[in-house]
Amino acid sequence: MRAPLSPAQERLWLLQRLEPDDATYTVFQVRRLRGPLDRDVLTGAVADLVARHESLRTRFVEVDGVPWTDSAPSAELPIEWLSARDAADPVAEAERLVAERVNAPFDLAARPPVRLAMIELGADDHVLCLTLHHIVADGWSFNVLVNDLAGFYTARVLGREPRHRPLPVQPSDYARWQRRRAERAVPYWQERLADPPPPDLPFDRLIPGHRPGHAAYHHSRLPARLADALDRLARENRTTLFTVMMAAYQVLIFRHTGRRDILVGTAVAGRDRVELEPLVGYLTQTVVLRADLGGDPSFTEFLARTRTEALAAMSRPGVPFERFRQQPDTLMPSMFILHSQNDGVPPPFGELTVEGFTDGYRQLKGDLLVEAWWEHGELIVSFCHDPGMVAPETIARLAERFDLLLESITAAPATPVSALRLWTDADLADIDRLAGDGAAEPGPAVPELLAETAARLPGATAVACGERSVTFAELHESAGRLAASLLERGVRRGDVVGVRLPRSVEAITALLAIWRAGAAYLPLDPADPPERLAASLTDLAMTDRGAAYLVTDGEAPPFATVIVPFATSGGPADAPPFDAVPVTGRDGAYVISTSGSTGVPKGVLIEHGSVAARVRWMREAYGLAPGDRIVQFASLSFDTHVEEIFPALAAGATLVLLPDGAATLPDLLASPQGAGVTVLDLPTAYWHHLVDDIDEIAWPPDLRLVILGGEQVSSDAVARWRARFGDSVRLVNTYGPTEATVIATAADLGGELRGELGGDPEDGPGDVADAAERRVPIGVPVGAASVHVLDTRGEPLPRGAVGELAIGGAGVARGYLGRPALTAAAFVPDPYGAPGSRRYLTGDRARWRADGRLEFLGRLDAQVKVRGFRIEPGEVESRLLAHPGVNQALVTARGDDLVAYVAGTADPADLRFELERTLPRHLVPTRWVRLAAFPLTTRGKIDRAALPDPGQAEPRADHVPPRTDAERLVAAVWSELLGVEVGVHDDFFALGGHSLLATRIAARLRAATGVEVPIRTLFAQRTVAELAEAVEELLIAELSAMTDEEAAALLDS
Amino acid sequence: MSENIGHTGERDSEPPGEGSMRVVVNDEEQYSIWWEGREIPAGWTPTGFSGTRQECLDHIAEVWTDMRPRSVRGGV
Repeated sequence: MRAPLSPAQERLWLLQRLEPDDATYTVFQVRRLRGPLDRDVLTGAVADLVARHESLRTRFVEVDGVPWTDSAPSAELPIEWLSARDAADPVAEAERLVAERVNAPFDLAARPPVRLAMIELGADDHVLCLTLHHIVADGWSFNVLVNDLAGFYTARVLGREPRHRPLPVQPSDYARWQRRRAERAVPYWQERLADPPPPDLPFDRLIPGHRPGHAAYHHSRLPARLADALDRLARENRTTLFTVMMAAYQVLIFRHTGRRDILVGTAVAGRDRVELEPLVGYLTQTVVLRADLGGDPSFTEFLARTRTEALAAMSRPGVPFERFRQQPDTLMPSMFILHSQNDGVPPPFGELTVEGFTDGYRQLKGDLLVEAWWEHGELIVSFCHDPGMVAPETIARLAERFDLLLESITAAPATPVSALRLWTDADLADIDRLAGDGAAEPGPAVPELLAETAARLPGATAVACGERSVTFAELHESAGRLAASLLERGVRRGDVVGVRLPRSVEAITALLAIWRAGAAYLPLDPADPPERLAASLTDLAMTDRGAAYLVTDGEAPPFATVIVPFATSGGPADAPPFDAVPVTGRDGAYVISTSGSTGVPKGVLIEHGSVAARVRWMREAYGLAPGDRIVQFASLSFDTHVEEIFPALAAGATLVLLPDGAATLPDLLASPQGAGVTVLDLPTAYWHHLVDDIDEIAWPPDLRLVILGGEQVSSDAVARWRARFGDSVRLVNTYGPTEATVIATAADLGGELRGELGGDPEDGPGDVADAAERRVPIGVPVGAASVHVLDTRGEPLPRGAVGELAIGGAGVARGYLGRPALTAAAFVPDPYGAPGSRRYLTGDRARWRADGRLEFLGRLDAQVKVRGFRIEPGEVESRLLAHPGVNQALVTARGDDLVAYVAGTADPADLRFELERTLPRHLVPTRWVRLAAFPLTTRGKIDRAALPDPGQAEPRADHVPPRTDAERLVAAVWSELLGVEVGVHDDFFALGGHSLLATRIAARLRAATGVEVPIRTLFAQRTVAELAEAVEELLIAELSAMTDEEAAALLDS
Repeated sequence: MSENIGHTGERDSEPPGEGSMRVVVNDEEQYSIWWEGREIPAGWTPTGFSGTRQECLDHIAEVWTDMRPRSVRGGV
């Protein structure tokens, strides 16, 4: 007889079809039968059992891709008789035989998926091992099977007819009925599971993307006192123990992930009709409960919500997973199941006594499955997990926290869910140990350190810039002269002085001069539009005397008091030494302008004490010394320049400048001057691009340290780096917002240096983690920094839990210039620091990993990083919305692109022009998409997943295809790297190109032509036509420098 | 009418301290906020103002006019 499958059966059938060798859905019952066993009687009883239950006679056939059940009217189930009697350890041998059987898959098409083995341990001692595919039997079915088998056996032993009523329905009847019901439930699930939250689990996965292996179980035992208290709490709230445990489990997830919208799966027996009770089949339904912990309810209030949710979800057929775009593990990241109490005494099995026996089942179902059941008045809680993905101690900690949470709930159920205690004493001690010490050792401010270096190493090279270099004595002396001139012009201690100079010795001199005049510097990028410059000076550098000082050799707003640096260089060589204006650790050192979400940039003011603490740590941790050569890569308008310049100069090392821009780094490295470089400090995104073309870069032979920062480091890139350099070049990943003075945490990545900055080696999670490819950590707090991961109440979190990263200690900024409310909100009292100290709330999500290092997990708000630049999309959006032709705007990051989606009548080209006039280049979107309207989710939010790919943006009007070989080459390289079609008049930057890509374009042109194309050429010749002409000229120059034979050989090749 | 349906800097999770907050100040006369009814960290004193988080921040915007630490103000 052929019949359709139930929807749940169809899902299992499909899974088995996709993975025929997978034994995940093998289900089983293993029992030890003591006493005299009559083999013939058992054989007869098994035949009775098969005759009664259609499921034991059903196989699954495929007809034109559609599965059908095929049930035979009769079938035989042979018993596999095995013996473990003669083994040295019969029980161990029996366990092995059992494990073999319960971990073996079934072929659903070949025969009914059921196996029965009897293993002889002794004359009157046997193990019964019954295995089936889940598609024909659920947990309930096994009670039915074992009880029925016992009944048939007993009846035959006694020579009686078994007392079984005929089954009113069979599984095929159920399947037809369930198909109709399931269809009616589809709208409920589609509405209930729309816009699923991120599938966060309450632990850090050791291996991202790791596929399930074998399961491990961690069991904890809740004492009868606690189990009874939970049961009582359920009754008092007119609900079930399941609902209490489920609600508690959801609180456990919330407290580990910070998410208040949580999906948890569970299984429902599906036996709510009396005629379904004696059936053997797959009736269990998998349903998903969506927790809403919004508004921070008390536990009892949340319990009421969970009760309503459970009633709605569990009265319906299971989730139709195949109707969703998302994978099942997104809709159901974990499961909680309470197994119903085994009520009643099992029927007699002849004269045999029935006991449990180890099953050895090791198949994994999902990333985390928590099950609970009663055993002798106690509740057993089992955490089924993948030990290749989660360290065993992590699961053990999770189980302890769950126990403590359940205790807290029963002790005070009216407590808000965010305040219930679940962190153990060991957790609390661990938090203090991980946090680091924010206190700074007393020491001189950096200007004093630099004066000391100038006295100690007067003749050593301080700064090299192209052909030019200056000694420490020269740098000190010219900074003194410029400082004197600043004071003359009216600069006073405590002022903020703008610096707008190209990459040059003069720029470095100006920073030192401003410090020695007792003021703080405000670095301004010469590439920024004049409007931005004027706004920054007005907002951030206006003194109380109404002056705005600007050191520049270029244009300046009319209101600024301009100091031209070169005017000081011609001064008398025998001028008296300049006495620096003394400053304390509380004086301002510099101001960095950062993107602000409301459309106005924020000026972060850093004090000298903070700079001194960081410089001290960097100098020591990076091992800087005379003889080191460090490239000054970062634009002065970003605080990374502090990490490059001051530790190096304080240590007597040489700073190597990039006068033609940061993107010309590969040119520098290929030059004789660059060959001596020992240390690089690079934005992570840029380093990723260099590693992509790792063999095209002339890495300096003495390179010993690369410092990364700004974005999540790719583990693939680290692996490629290690493959190329082994342990010869140290790689340090750093993390830190401007508000905490450049960096707050650091991690040595890989190699033998692992652990140097990596926390306590004893904390390691063991071999599993060490061997694995992992998300690259951001490490542990640097010196004089303290770090806590805070929950929604501002309480610190232990390992494994996700929260907001807060930074205390010596690096905490004074605040945002002229923005008291913003400052008071972000810089808050630090209960763990010195009295009166503050900590900075970063808005970054992070967690302490099992190995005691921090992991960065994105933003709590909308801030993005593009090519290492920190961007508040709101700042760009508010500019776009100011345009009358824009109704809606959304700015987001996609890879190296900042993408603007706009709805309205405005032409993206006009908007781009407008933004370029007012914003720094990194805030101007590189891809534009105009939409008629924004796609919305069923809940009315913008459906980000449905936004079109910006690569499909409309082509430009003036498209001219390439005309010459050189143009075709250049166009092909551009279009490959930019992912768009390219015309000869297209501008590299207008197409979304940026300095990171320039390196790769140069590398590819070199690979294709053999000609070295300097990166600055790419910036000067910005269209395909121009660059193609430059490449041709370079080729001709190369050819003309060759002998005729060389040229002929090159042309032949 | 333009509508910013994108980002407003709002966070997924509720910011710490929904409910009543108080304005606190340290020895350097730097202002901040702390939860009403929770122990104030050492070195901070309540100014007497309390309210919602936003009310506290608005109050601070009015009263914190010189953002320099007190020790620096004295030194200049």
